[in-house]
Amino acid sequence: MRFKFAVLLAIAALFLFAACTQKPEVKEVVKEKVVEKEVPMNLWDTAEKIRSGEIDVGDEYGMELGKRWHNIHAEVLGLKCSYCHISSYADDFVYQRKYKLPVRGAPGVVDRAICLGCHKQNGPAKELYMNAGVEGVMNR
Amino acid sequence: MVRYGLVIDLAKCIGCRSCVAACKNENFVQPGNYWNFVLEYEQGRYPNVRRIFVPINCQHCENPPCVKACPVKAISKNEYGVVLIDYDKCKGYRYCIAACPYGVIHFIDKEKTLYPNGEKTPYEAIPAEARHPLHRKKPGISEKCTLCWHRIEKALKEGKKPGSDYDTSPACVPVCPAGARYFGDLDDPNSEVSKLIASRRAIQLKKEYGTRPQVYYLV
Repeated sequence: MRFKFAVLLAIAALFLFAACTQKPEVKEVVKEKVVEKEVPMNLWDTAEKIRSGEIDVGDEYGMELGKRWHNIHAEVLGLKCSYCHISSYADDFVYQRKYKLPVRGAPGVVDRAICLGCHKQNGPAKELYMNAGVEGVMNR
Repeated sequence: MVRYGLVIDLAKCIGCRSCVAACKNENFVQPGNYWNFVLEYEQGRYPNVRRIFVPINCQHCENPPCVKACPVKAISKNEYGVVLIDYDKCKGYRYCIAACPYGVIHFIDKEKTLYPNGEKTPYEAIPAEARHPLHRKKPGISEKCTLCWHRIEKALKEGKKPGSDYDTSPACVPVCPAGARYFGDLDDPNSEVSKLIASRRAIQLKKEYGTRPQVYYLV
């Protein structure tokens, strides 16, 4: 029994020695070519060009594809469908039309928090939302 | 200044949807659309679970994004703080629906009747010219809660105080069996709504949008 144990111990020690003495392979590090990425568009410049007409987004107002809204957000700004159209709202999300699909089979529902990024007070896009705490500015 | 608004007591609301039904009935809201809706939320973990009901309608914001978004200026806020859509100007572009963070504006895609075969009920058959201008809706426009402006306007013309009785209040307020809805002048410190906001913990929804809604919720 002791002899068998000693033999097993010797074999284990042999494997351990072999593992420790292996030299790590030296791999050549190949530097990947640096590909110049497109510089993200300047939202302020883009918004100004749309307002001035330098970027033609069409005259037809509407939410359908091909009309002004999607021309600006999907074509010019390049926002992917999934950026706005989410699959469902969170259970605790407060939104009256939460359970209503958009008309004309538009894909999914849209989280309005996405809009706040650009359409905020002093933002690059048309100002729709104010900073919290700003007094009412609408003329009554 | 007069600024009409609502206060909704979430502790009292039982989610019966009487306000939803009364609004639909009062304002000729067709099937599929609603000016008033009750959202339900579940809180807690079994066995300590409770449901919270949040009635939500147009918040008649002080800084309404729908007004700014509309390309044809079909939406406006009047001198009493009520945000209204002009159906004659509305072209159905739905920018207001996209801009509203509360989702309270609906689009009338096509005319729908209560009966599936298209037959109109006597109520639905009332011609447009016999209705108040705010009820002369047609396919291709947006619609939303008007705070029953037709009732408030009538009360003001008759010299009555809006909110003083059933006919001068928005339809959703007096029908509430739990007494969870209050209507009044938010700029009058002696009005019931102002006193409730001052004495209880009142919150506004989605304050991060800076809309300053005129509907307060008591929690």
